[in-house]
Amino acid sequence: MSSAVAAAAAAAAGTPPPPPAPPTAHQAQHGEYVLLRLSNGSERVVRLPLHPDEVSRLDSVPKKSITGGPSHVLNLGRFGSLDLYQLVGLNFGWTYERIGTGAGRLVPLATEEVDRADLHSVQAGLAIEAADGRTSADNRNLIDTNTSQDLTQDDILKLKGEGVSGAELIDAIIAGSKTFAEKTEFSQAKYIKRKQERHLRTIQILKTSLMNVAEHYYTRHPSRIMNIRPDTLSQMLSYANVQPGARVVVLDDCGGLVTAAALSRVGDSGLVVGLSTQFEEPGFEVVSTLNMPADQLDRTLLRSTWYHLSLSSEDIISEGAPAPGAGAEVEDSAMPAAAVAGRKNLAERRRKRQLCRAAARDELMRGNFDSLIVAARVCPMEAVRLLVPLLAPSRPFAIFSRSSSALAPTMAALRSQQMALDGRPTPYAGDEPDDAEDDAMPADASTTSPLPRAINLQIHDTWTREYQVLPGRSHPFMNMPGAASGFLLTGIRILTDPDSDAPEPLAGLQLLLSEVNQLRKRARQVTGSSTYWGISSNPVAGTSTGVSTDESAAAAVSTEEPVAAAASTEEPVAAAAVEQ
Amino acid sequence: MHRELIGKRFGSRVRGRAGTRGGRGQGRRQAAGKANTGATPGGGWAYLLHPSPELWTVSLPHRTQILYVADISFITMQLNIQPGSVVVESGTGSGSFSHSLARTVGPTGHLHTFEYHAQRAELAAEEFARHGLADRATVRCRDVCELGFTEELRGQADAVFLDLPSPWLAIGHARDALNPRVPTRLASYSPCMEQVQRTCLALRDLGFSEIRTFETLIRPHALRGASQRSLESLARYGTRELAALEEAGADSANAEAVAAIQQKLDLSRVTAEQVARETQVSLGPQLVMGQEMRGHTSYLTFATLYPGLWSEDAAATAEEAVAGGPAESQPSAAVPTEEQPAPEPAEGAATAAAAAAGSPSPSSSSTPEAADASE
Repeated sequence: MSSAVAAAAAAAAGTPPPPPAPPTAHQAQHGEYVLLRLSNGSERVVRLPLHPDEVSRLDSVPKKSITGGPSHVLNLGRFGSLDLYQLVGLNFGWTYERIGTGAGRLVPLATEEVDRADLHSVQAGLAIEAADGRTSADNRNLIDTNTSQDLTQDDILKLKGEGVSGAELIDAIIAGSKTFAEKTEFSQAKYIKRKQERHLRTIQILKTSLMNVAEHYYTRHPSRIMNIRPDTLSQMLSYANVQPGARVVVLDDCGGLVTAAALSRVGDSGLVVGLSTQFEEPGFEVVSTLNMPADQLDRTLLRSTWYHLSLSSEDIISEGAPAPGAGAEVEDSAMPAAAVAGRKNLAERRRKRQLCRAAARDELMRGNFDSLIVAARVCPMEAVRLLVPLLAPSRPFAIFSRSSSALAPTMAALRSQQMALDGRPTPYAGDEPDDAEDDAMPADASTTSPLPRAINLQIHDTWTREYQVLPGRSHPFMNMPGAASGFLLTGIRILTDPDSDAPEPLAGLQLLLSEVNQLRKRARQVTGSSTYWGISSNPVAGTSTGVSTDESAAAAVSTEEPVAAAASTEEPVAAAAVEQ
Repeated sequence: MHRELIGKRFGSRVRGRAGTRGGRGQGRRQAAGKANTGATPGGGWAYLLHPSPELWTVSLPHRTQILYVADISFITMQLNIQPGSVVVESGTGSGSFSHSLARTVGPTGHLHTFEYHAQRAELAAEEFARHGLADRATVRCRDVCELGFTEELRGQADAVFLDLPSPWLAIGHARDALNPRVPTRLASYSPCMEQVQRTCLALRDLGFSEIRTFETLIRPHALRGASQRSLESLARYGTRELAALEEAGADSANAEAVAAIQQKLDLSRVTAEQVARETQVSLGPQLVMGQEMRGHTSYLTFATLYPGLWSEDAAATAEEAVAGGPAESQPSAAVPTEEQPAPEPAEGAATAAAAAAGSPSPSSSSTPEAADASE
């Protein structure tokens, strides 16, 4: 989104933002994340390069990383490479054919080429054809002898080498097919479609949406998002009643997918506290793909790691301050100006992140949240004990788990407690749900803090399938791209003592955090350490988990940092490499 | 009962009166009561909850079939509905989805919902007013298939949702209501595949792309105190006491205990229930598939309208062809034959749909085909 980039540029360079770009919301913009769909069936989420004018305003950044170099040339394997600059200004949803060698050109795909592989245009299915009395070839004489094609692979390569267009090549292949004429109309269309997928290099550029991004990650990178299928994600938002203006807590080990989903629903007036169980905030890569304005993200997203919650706000902020003398060191060194600026940027970003963590902590301590979503590899019972009390009474929660049995003891404990309160016999008489829990977890503040009360409890999963709908040939797709998702435990928190007007006691999390905070202080005195967390004292925050990713991705989240432009266009490319 | 609720905190508990099954959700400003129908003679407990669209869906007065949370959630995400979105819906029905839409678009967006049944439209309007949603949801009584979505809404909508018996008759009107300057989305909700097929053809002929159809169902899992029969206990039933008998038998003062043990050893005096009870092993609470699951709600068809991918003229002709044809021309489902098309990977087919619809201008051949369909 150009306004976001512009705002980021202004923030970085200290100049007022430039006038907004003309509204061309149906075309891909500089600096925007888009979804690319290729004719060979693969998909990429990429960020388009910034406008050169914007880049020139970012004097603090080494320009080469944005304007030149390979970072905006996307290598798409057999598809060839693609210069991302070419995509700027293309129409969303259109199909473009890539012509020529090297980076090539992109031209809208000819209508006739689209039509001749249109399976819908084959009027009616087999049964209808017969009813119509229309004659059509059938497949009875088709024998797979592997000799039905006159053209050899070498012939095809030779034609390609001569610069024949994709359509001409497909014509030649059809002409060379001994069996094409004998195929049914439908088979012919499918044959052409297959040849197009192979020989036409087409690309579709799509505006990112929560839906297509969620589906992209689910089908291409399921392990990064805990296999949360889009339908399940959509239900989390409903069951947790995420709405404009809501204050939402999200525990997210899904690359920011759930945080992004919540952000897209709370709008400009809400707030999402996005927590991660990692030691450093991982790149919430999915958040940036939705192109939310940077200033809106600044207002509505507070990120922290679970670890940082146990520091007091003062501790967190002092931790982020540059060590005494560090600034002078930078000035004195003979580093190139760009490197100095880069270092400064990094320090600035780190400080900003610390402030964000402190704010997230303060916000959590305030409690009274409207919605809670847990999508992380944590014990559901702990999540309920520590996080559900952060909700205001009568506010809903949704907890995702890939395993239903992980959720069962939690639901049993909540329900047994509730039935006891209501004077109803527990349905699991004789069973001790607490046993399982005690086995699974160490006795700790999280287990000793009382279980909150909740009603409307439900565990469910979702069964979704897609259909091929063609005239006379409709049926569910025979392959589902990754059918697995997981289970949701949903419910509504009620008052700790639902019969009294007494104020709510301090939540278990608040007690746990203040206790740990004291312990950390003592531990620091004992060890004489100057910081709480070793990795934070390192200016580049080097850890074995790969900090360059952390840094660049974290910056990309707020889309505020020009460095991110280069880094994040590279990121999906790297992902692509892994994929192939 | 409602008077007792005033002044209570949300999340607190009140005793339901005998004979009442707890309060139904009575509105956004008041309380949606969640009833616990316990066995207490004086009526169950009720909890005072903030109303939410999800609670409204399970407690609203049914005037029609309604949409439930699985379909509602999926459609909302597929339609890319966000705070500030302008959404057009037809028909309103019982207002289940309408409440959820009004929640999601927020105070900066708007829901325009159309219902051809005058009384339903009136009741829905009353509900919106009572629930504090009147400023963000407008109900109009209108047959959209015939009259369209009003001139006022031309080019205004970010998304259109159709829950109509003949959705294909409204797709041309829906296209008029959609904002032509940005990519917009449409969803259609139909229980029958014949409706879906016709809708998909109309969508394609009217310039929509990325036409995809789904079905989504929630499977509730119930918690049961599960116990299972122990094979070894069952095999050994009535023999374990032998050792005890021998031990007790040595002490003649224990006549009573011996008699009890002997009774256990005598299988002719044991009931089947007793055996069942004594050979059970408890597994603790276990999840089992719930008894109640919907087998089918409706097919959900989604499509995108991209600026520049359709032209007024071609689309208008196609529209005439789609709207003009009698309903019985719809090809019925193919009888199963051995020559069903080969299984096709979902991905490939999705690309096919996208590629098929992705031409820069609508195919000129679409008009005769549409005519064919309505012959």
